[in-house]
Amino acid sequence: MLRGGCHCGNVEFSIRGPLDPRTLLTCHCRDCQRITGTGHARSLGVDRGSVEWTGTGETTKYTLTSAAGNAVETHFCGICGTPIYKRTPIAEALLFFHAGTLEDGSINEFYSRVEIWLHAKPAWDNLC
Amino acid sequence: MPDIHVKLKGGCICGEVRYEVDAVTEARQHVLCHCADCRRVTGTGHSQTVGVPEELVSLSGAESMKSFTLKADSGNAVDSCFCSRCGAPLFRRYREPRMDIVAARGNILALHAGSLDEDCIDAYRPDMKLGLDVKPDWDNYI
Repeated sequence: MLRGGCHCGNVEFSIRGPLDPRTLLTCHCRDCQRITGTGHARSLGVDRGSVEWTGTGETTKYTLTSAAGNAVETHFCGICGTPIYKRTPIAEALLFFHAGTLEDGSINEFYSRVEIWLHAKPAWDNLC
Repeated sequence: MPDIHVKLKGGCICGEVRYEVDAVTEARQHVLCHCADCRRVTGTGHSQTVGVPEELVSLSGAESMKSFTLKADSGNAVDSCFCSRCGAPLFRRYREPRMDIVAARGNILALHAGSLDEDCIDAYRPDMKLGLDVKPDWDNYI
């Protein structure tokens, strides 16, 4: 069981595993840069049915059109601003949770398996 | 080698909130931080920010901006500022600057590097890493 949430406790969730490695993504597209304020998003796609919402409130949604032309919903906490998950109609059953929202005991269950939009990666976005 | 002294400007996803740093200043602090607060602010394994004096920053659409105050490990209050419409993180405001920015007076705004526009995004140049002891195992890649 993975647990996570926002800063203020408005949005909290738990996810029943197992994770599908094909959905463990690092994405460098411009939208993911702005959603996160960094050079990439790290996300895990999980089936809607395996998520339990345990906080006091709900996410706030904004829908953008991606560079590929797809509608992408970005869901965040409207009180503290923590980005929670993304959703797109082309993978309707999946919620792509931002890995940085996982609690300390869960955060290392994530790993990045797939890296996309590398051509949009900023020059400085190499860690190590 | 990109010029790190270009004028900085950026904003959120929906375009409602925009910022510009009025002066091209060398008083910048380029930080990468893995602490738990920064992981939540960004949803990733770290934040990447350019710190500049607030007095140099002009904002448009500020009425759509929202802030949430966090208590940093140092005990200082830090405002996490984001667009209330699209949620994009814009900057963090340090009211008691802990960073030794040259000639900084008053508040420091740490602009999130991912919110910078394309023509100045390469001006970010991480030269200080914080919170390495709490870095997630997966936050390494080339």
